[in-house]
Amino acid sequence: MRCFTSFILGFFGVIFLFPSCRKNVDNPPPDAQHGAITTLTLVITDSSTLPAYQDTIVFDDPDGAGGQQPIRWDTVRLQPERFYKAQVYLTNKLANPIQNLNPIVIAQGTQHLFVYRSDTSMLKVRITDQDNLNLPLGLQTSWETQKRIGWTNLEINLRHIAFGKNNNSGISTGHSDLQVLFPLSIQP
Amino acid sequence: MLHLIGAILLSSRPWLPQDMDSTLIGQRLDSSKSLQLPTVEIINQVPGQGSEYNRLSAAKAFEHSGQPLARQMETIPGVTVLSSGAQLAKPVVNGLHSQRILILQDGVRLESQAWGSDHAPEIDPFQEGEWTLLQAAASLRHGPEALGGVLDQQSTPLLKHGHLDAHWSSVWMSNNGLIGMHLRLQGPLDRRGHLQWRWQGSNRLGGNYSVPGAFVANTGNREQSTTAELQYNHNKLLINNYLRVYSLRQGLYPGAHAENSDDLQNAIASSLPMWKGDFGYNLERPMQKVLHWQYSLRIQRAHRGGGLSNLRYGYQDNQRQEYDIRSFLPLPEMALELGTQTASYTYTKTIGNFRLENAVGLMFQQNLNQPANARQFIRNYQSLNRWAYTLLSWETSNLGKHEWALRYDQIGFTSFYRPPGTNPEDPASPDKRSFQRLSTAWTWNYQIPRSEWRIRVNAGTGWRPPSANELYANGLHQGMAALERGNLTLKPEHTWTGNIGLGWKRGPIDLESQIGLRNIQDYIFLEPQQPSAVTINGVYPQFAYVGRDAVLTHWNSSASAQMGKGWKLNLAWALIRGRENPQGTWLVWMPADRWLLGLHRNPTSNTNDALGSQTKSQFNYGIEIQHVSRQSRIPLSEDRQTSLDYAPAPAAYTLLRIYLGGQLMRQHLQWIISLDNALNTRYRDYMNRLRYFADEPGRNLSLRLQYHLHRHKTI
Repeated sequence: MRCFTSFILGFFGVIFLFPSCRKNVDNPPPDAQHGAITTLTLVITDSSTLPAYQDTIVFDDPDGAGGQQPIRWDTVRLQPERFYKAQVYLTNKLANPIQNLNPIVIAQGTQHLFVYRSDTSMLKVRITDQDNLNLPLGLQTSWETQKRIGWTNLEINLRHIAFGKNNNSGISTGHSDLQVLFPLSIQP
Repeated sequence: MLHLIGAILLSSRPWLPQDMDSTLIGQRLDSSKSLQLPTVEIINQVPGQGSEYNRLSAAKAFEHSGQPLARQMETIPGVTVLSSGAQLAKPVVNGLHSQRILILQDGVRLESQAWGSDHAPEIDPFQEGEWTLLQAAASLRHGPEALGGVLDQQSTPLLKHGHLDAHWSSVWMSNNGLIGMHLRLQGPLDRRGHLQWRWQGSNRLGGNYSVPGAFVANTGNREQSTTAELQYNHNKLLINNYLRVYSLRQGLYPGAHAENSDDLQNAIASSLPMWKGDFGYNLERPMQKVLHWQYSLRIQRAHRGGGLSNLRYGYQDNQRQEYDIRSFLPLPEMALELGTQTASYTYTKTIGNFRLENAVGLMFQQNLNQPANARQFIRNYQSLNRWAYTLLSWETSNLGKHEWALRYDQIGFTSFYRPPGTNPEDPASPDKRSFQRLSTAWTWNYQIPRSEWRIRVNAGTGWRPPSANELYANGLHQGMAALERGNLTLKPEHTWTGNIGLGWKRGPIDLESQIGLRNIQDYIFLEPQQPSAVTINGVYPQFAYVGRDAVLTHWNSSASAQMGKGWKLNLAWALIRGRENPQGTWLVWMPADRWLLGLHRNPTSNTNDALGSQTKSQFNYGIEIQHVSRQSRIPLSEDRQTSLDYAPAPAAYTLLRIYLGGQLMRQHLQWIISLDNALNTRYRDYMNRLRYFADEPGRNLSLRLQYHLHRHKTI
């Protein structure tokens, strides 16, 4: 009995060393969402004017999905009957340092497609860049505004098409990695 | 209750070695054995014997083998499941689930990321042994947070003598093409029987499940499990080593991830899954992977004075990875590792009619976010739980059997977090919390002399501190396709429970009924929040943890009648009510009313002896009708006019199940063919988180086989 009691005491003596294990628990990495999109920046240029017109449109939700509401959600303002070029930049502000996601989208271009949706009687969008299989990608586009003026919306939707992206892929293909609805104003 | 249905099937006792079966059951039925003087021979006695419990027998488990463990548990009265699709299911006992239900494996409580309703217990559904639901005093042994009860698996005793004992079982299901196999080998290692061993291995491969008219995409799973056990048992000493490894890859239905509020509404309104799949075993994102290790060491020693010492140590490592459907990188969005060490010492002594059990122990736990992790849905944390309890049981012919338990817990909890964008060199901000409290419970079992009546009463208190996810969750819970928010102001739950059960048995009629009341202060639950959340990734339902006073009541009953020539009729029901207190709205995720009517024929159970032997070439067959009402008691907004839920509660449904079983090859081979949802009824269950998007599985034909390669002679 005495031997067994000693064993029990020794056993618990060892067990009480538990908390000294795994010290990394108090040293977590910063909560950085790899690959998460927090910010969409749209740079619009019209080189037909002097000086060239350029505008930067931003949707910014720096704490990602959940948490606080987006801190910036701009309106796209265009003039009728003009040609514009647009470039999309995707950013992850949760990462440290801030992560530019465009190279990842380009590298995985055969699984991604930007879809632009708006009232075509006011704005027509055409994709001008391609992925490695020469299929449309959509980081770069050209926009043609029509004669009609007024307010509408412009939806930018990044489709994640894991399999079978082709020339017919569109809004109903795959899943959305990103979906932002910008207010769009076309005024003279 | 429902386990009486199992007793009928048990009467054929085809799938356990006969002497092992009768010995084990004999231990359970003979209550006096629990009061024997402590020798090593009582080591395999059932914890909590004499207190209120219900069982899932090995025979009943075989009848449902291949299904997730929680679905097998549904045969226990008051047990339902909270599920996310067909395969991810966790047990719900009288309306309580997740951290409020403890699951024991080899006497060690399973510690995993149990907080998610899509996180099924890491238990091999093929694993041999009987499951027992412990409640009240018996459950307090294992923790005060087991407000709903403790599910305890008792393995069959290891073989001390005889030859190698081998057992093989297999299952095939038509609905999802599931193929499952299990092999168990065991035997003594030396002639004197001092060393014994056992090994079990199983594999389960399931494809996309089908609902009437479609397959549900990406809902297959791959599951493997193995256990190894080595035991030394001689004179007054027993040393048992137990090792278990469990692995799961589970696909998640992608259609639950809506892109905008219209899509969400369309997905909810659609009668068929928006994402239809074909039959196949491929797994894609979204998915979850789980790897669980467990080692436990048990040392028991019987003392000269009649006492019995029991020393336990357990180590568990739970690794969980969840993969979003939307990801640029081939990495999991959630990667957590939970390490748990438990140690306890129990001393038991019997004096006359009294049995006293005292125990002390501790549990140390650390949760780590892995480097591949995209977000810290659950923060890094560590906790240390020091506890002690005393349990006194006594039995007299006049006053029946009593059990009384008193337990004290002290829990220290610290979490660590670095917000996004902070410098890794900056110190992490800790959040320290401390909890301590006494719990107590009392159980009384009484057979009224010279009467057909028996009484079971229990009452007690319990408590549970808020868990890490309830405090800190913030973001997308991908498995649920929902945004969940924690609540730093949550207080520990405190509960007062009382249950009264009455039984009556005369001749072929056996009735049993239990009512229970549970008052929970600061009951923590995930409440739907309106409107849904708009994010840059799409639109998601959002939920927040809240703590409010609540009252839960239940009424579980069963009736059975032996009708001669082996026919038996069963009726059982379970009614559960849960609402905020006082006069608040109904609680979300409470099971709807359930009714079960069964007609069974077992030619050998013509008498009341459920353990009667079965003769060769006779069939068991039966039919079961299960009816589940529509859950009309749903949470409402403050104006009591609109539902807080994202979809109306599903309609009531009725399911038909038929089965036929028998034996071949001199009873070495047992088989059961069953047809679940025989009418291919289209239905959704309120307790399934996927009910917003997809139906429950349609018709399912199953074939189950069991084969004993050898039989041992004695235990």
